[in-house]
Amino acid sequence: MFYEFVRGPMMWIAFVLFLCGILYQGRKLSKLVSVRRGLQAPPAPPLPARSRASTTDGRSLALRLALAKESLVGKYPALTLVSVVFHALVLVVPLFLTAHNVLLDQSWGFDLYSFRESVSDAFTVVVLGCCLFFFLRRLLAPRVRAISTFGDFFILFLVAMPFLTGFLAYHQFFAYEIVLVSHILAGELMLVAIPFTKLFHMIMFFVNRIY
Amino acid sequence: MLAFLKKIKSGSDNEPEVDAQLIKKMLDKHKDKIKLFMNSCIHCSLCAESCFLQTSHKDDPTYMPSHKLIHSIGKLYKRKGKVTRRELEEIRDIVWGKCALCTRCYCPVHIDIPEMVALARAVCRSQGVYPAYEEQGGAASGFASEEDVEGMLEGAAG
Repeated sequence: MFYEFVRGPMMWIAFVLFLCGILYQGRKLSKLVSVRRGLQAPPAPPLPARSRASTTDGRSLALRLALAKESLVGKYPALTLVSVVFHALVLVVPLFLTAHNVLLDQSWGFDLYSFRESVSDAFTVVVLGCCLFFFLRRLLAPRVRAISTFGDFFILFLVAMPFLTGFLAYHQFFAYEIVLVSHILAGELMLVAIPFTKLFHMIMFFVNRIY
Repeated sequence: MLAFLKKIKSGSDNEPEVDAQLIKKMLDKHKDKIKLFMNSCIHCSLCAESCFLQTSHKDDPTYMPSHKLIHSIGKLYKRKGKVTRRELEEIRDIVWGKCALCTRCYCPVHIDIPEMVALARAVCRSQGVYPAYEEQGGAASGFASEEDVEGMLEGAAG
């Protein structure tokens, strides 16, 4: 019965809270962006067209390579790779998981493309590995530790839990029903937390750039 | 004027109270922006490499732009301006002592760190808390000595 509750009404509650939170934060952010737009200077004149020589000049390529080494990718290649893979898989895995698409089909009559289960399994392990990387980095790197708070570890835990419990449920480790309910609850908790915690950076990232 | 500034620098018992209302008023003018930036900061520390002061003090994470942001404007905002003079002096040491406002700092989430540091400086100045440059006096340093300043003040008065 509890399973039916978390799978049914509680899922609706989680989605409603998620959407209301997104709308509330979005309204605040749009106000900020519109105020900023009113203050913006007129657009700059267009830059002169590049000559053909500047794109094929060897010195230009060397300069670009040197600059690339000084960029974030050049200075933190491992972190960049882990971060890109992590953020991509966190979105992709839940959307294209066979089990989720079966539920989607049963509830709404449509489904998305599904990866093979072995592929989803491997992706889940990769996500968990990335979470471990971020956790260790936050704990061991002095610069990151200096500005880390409990909230930073908590949101990492929130993101890792659905993947960990999902992995355990799929492989039917421990008591399956308890693990499955934990998985659903973890997912719902993460969904509700997105608009109200630093997880909102998934949307703030783009808003800040517009702002 | 000089005596007043010296009094503030030395933190004597007769130091003026911090005007928390004024600080809050100054912060409220930029409230949405401060809140957006403080909520956007994901504590990634990627801004560290963009600050030349941090790269020349590699073992001291307090030079990180994010650390400066959190411990200056972040502290003022969280406390709604209710800080002690000692805390304002600590903020002064951060926003002047650890930041040149060169605007070189980069944030992956595009937080305008220099703007926040400049705001923290404005708040400190409003309370009469700023670096005591006059104490580095002497012609060789390029700063006016105490006697020079007193002479100038007397000349202006008289």
